[in-house]
Amino acid sequence: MTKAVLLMGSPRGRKSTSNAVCIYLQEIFEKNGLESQDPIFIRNHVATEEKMNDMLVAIDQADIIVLVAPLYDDTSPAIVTRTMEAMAKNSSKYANKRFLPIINSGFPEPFHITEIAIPIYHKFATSLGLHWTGSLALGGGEAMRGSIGKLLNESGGFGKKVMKALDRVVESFVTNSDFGDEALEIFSLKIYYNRVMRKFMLWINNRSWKKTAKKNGGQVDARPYST
Amino acid sequence: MGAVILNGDLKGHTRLAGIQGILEDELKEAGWNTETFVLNEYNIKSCTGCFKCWDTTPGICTGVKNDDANKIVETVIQNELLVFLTPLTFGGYSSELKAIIERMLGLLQPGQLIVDGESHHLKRYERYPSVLAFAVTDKLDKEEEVLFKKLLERHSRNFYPPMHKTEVFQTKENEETIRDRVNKCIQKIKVGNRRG
Repeated sequence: MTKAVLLMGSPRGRKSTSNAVCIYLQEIFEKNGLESQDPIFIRNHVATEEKMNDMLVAIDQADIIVLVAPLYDDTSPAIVTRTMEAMAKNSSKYANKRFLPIINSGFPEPFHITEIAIPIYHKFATSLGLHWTGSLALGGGEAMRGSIGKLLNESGGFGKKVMKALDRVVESFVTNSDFGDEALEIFSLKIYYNRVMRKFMLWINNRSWKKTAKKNGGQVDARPYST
Repeated sequence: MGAVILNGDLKGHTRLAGIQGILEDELKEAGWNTETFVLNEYNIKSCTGCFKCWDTTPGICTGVKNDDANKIVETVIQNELLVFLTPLTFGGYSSELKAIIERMLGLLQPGQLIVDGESHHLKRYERYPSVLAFAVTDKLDKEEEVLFKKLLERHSRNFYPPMHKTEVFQTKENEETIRDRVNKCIQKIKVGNRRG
C-alpha cells in the first residue's frame, strides 16, 4: 500500500488554513486507499533532536511527502526551513520519494507564492533526489478562515474550490502521475482587480485591523520603536 | 550611521565568521557603527502567526514570550543598514536567519496597499534600513544564486528598504577577493525613505 506523510508546516497549529487542508487530505487519502497517519505538526518536532528524528523516521517510511504550509516573508516558515536542513543531512534516504508542497498565502495573488517559495522548494526537492510531482499555490488562503478553525467544507465556495484541487492532487497520487504546478485564486483576481471592488476590499481590510487593534487597546499605526 | 549584522550561521557552525569579520572591518573603515548578532547564540523563537504584533500590541511582538527577538528587532529599525549573513539554503535563508526575519512582522502595519500592481502590507515606519544580503556556499550553484537574488528582490517589496543588494560567496574564496566584493557593496549603500 502506498504510504503518504502529511507535514503540517503552520506555526499556528490546529487553527490554520494549512491544518484545514491537511484534515481534508487525510480524509481523501483514506477514501482513495492511500495509507496515512495523522498530519505531523512540524512545530511540535523542531524543538528537540529526538522529536526531529521521529519526524525524519516518518518521512523516511513514506512513499509520498506532502508539505502543507503558509508563506512567511515570501518563503518557507523557519520551522519548515529547519526541517529541510535536517532532511538535507540524510539526503541519501529520499531518492525517488514523491514530493508535493501545498502553500497558502493571505495575499490574493498566488504569484507571491510561485515567484520564489515554490522554486526554493523545487530546488530543495531536486537537491535531495526527491521526485517533484508538482505544487499547489493557494492565493487568498485567509478567505477560508482556517485561522478560526474552519474546515474546508465549512468555508463555502472558497473551500469547495480548494477541495476540488486537492481531489485532483490525490487522483494524481493514485494514478501515479505528476500533478504539475498549479496556482489557485481562492478569491478571484478578476474581481479583486476591479478598481472599485479592490478599493472597497482594501478599505474593509484596513478598517477591520484598525478596529481590532482599538478594541484591544492599541493603535494600529503605533511606532513603538521610533527614536 | 548604524549597521546591524545578523549572522544566520547554524548552531555548531562558524562558516560565516570570516565574512562577518571582514564586513565589520570594512563597515568600520567606511564610518559605520556596527552591531553584530550571531543569532544561534541568542534565544530566538520563530513566529507563531498570532498577529498580536498587529492587532493587540501594534509594533511589538507579545505573542512569543521570553526570548531575545524584540531587542534585535528594535535595533534593526533604529539603524540605517541591515546585513543578512546566511549559509545559502536551497537558494534561501537559513532557519536561524529566517526565524528573526519572521519576528520583524511588527515592523510593518497590517492591512494592504497596492504597490506596482501587487498587494503588500503597509509601512509602519517612515524609514527602513537598506539591506545587504550575503550568502555563503561551499559550491557555487547558478540556480541557487539566482533564487537568492530573487528572494531578496521579493522580500524587499515587503520591507521597503531604500536599496538592497545580494552577493553569494564561496567558502573557498580568498580573503582579499571577499574584502574587495564586500567593499564594492558598501560603496553602493543608500539610506533614506522609500514610498509605500
